[in-house]
Amino acid sequence: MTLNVLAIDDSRTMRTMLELALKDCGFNVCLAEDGQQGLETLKTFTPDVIVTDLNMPVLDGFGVIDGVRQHERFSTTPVLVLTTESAPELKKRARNAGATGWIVKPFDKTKLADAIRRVAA
Amino acid sequence: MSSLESIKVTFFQECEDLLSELESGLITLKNGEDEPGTIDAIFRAVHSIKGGAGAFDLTELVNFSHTFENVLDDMRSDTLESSENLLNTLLESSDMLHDLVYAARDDITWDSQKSADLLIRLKTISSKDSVSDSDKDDSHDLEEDFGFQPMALALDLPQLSNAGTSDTPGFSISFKPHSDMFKNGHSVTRILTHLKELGDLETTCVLTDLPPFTDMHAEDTYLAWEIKLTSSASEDEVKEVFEFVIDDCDLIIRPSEQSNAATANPLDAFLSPPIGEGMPLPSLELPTLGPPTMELPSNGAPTMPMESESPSVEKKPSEQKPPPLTQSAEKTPSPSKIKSGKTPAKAPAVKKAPPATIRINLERVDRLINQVGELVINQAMLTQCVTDAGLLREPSVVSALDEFKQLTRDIQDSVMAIRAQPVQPLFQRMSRIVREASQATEKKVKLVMEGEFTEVDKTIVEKLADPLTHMIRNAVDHGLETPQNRIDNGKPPEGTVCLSAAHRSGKIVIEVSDDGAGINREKVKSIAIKKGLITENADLTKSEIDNLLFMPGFSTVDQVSTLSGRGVGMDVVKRAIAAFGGRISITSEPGKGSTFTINLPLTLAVLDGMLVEVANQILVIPLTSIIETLQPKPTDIHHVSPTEQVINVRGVFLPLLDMCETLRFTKTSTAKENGIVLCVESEDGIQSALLVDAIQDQRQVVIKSLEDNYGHVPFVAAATILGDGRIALIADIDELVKAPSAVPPSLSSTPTPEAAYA
Repeated sequence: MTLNVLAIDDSRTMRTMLELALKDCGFNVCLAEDGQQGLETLKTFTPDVIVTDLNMPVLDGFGVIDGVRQHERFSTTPVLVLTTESAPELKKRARNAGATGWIVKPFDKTKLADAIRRVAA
Repeated sequence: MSSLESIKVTFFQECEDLLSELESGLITLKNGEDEPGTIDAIFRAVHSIKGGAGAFDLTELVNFSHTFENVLDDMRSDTLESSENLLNTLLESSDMLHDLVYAARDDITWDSQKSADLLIRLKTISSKDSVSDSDKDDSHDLEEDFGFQPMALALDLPQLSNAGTSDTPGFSISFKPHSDMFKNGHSVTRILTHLKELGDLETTCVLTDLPPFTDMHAEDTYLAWEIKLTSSASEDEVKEVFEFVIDDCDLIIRPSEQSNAATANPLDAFLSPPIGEGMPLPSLELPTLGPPTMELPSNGAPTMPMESESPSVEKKPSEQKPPPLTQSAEKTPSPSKIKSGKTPAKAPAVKKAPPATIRINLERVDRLINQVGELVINQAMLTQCVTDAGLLREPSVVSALDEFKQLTRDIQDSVMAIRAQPVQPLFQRMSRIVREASQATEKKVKLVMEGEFTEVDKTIVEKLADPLTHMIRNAVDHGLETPQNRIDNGKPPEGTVCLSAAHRSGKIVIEVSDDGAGINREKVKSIAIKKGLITENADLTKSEIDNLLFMPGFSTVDQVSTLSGRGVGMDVVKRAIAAFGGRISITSEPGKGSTFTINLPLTLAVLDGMLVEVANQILVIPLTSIIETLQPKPTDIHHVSPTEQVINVRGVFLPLLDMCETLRFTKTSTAKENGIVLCVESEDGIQSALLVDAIQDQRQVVIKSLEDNYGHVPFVAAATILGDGRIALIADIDELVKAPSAVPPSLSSTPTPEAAYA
């Protein structure tokens, strides 16, 4: 089964990379430019896994996690945080908010794909 | 282009946007307009640059942006007070980042010395020790195209070694999810499925911990699993399956053979005491379980005797963190409590969504513009045909034709608009020039920008950068007075340089003005006389004196300053602007300042040309290169050799080129005396006179490249199609004035100002 992945990142470069990498690994990819757009996407796209950046305009990654966890349909959808940050406090905060996993940028295609498959519900 | 390369292109394009966002944000802060969210946007810009740079292994860029980011993060979290000094350093850093990005883009090796000093200053400001920052290690962890460091959620996990255990044929795994594990989107099924991929699985669900039904929460889990995995996989591979849940469960992984040493039901370890109270493991199994420092079991396990009471307890929940239930109580489901400071409520009001844009290959746009040009010509030809056929009496034909004409014009306008870009990025670059110039001259300068959203053809925007830079430097260096001087003259110590852009009657007008001392006309005149540019008794109007600044070889500074006096004067600026069809003029008021005005065509795809007739052919001469036209008297034309002739224009001898001969047209009978002479000037300031038969018209023509469609023709720059379908060649003035008979400016005797500025 092809997994649906929603990737949220405000950087065009990162989005392009994610799209290329994820499509290459056989995922269905939907991209969003910020948290709010990401949550909007949930109306039309049913992701199996959400990959989100933390630092974003309009609505940041924590907001995405909150939004997803409160969502009636997606409250248990895995959310992977993909960020350059690696500070333990931030990780803790993300985890407490309900993040499923944490991946540090720059990312490796295969490992990201593995991580996605591993958490996919 | 490989996909990585093309992403790199995207990255650098994005960097440009980010850099301009960064700079305008910093300027907003500096102007004291503290809009909420500005600092967040600034931080994100640097952060994104760092993120992308990491992916491409641009170490210098990563290092610098990382340190820069740390300072911004301090500002963002209010641990660092904003000050004039700090903002200046940040602006300087933004300039440096700009240079670093461009160096990386153009593959230029960066000299670390250049940024070393600034880096140290940034590090001093920042509260974070960027060297030991964990973050930094990540950015260096680039083993492949994309480096990667997958991490479990908690860093506080003891690192486990799998030494010696990997050759065991299987594992015995005890897996007890914390009751709230599902809340983070984990799934037991998925984990078990994944485990199954490693080998044969035998699972037993442990139900002993089920609470009374009434106490159960639908979203919690109360189950545990005892798993026997027969697999040749390494312990690390098994652990990887649990990577993300490691903090959300109690987990014991043991190589199978050791499981004999453990109890029959190792889950007792978890299950016997209530989960919420921490879990001292049963003393029978682990009598020596000591202080937390001993808690790295799998490290020692293989080397210890079998009975060593040291099973591979990967992690002892009670000691690693608060007991699960307590934690889940803290972690109230109310998300509002968890929300970060920068989540929805605060942010949305801040950022105006920019209009959606796409990036298009310029070539495609040019092709489209070209085709629309053809369409316009075609429309004109059709109208001509219809008129000739006498169909204009048909009202339906007339109205259809009118509509067609209108539509064509609209399409042309829209297509031209695609190439148009706001001058804002260009203007923003100028703010850096002003900063550098004000530092170098120790003058206080404020740059005011107006009309930065005025759109200009992309090519023109690019070509404007150099002349504008020069003019801005001039304005600061020569235009403005020193602060003391200004105070003495009753002006505020801070000078103002104003940069504005506007559309005015089909042209773009760009103005650089300063509120400085204005042009010292006496001084300008005396210098011009000294340099032999004008005669001593020349009677010049104010404007003529001002325009002397554009004369080649004119420079008002006695000493060459480090800043603007780099051997290029305003004449270079003038020629650069003329090169793309623009014109520059100057106005000045003593004591109040000067204004330089640049007039530009809206696009480079059309040209203002003078249509002239040569041997029954139509030739287009670019209007910007024509200085004057005149009807020659036979006595003014002199032969200097059988083929070369010169013309006396008010005492100045210019080489005279008979266009008919030069372009090798078939000669007609028109005598030279009946012809018209056009005095033209090339980009380099070389003047020459062109002899043509007659002037026909002055109009805008669409430029068609001859080289693309045919090949290079000497003295011809391009071609155009006239309304009646005829092709007309556009003369290449630069090439014409360099024709053998043309003479360089130094030999063309001393021009009077009238001749130079007719």
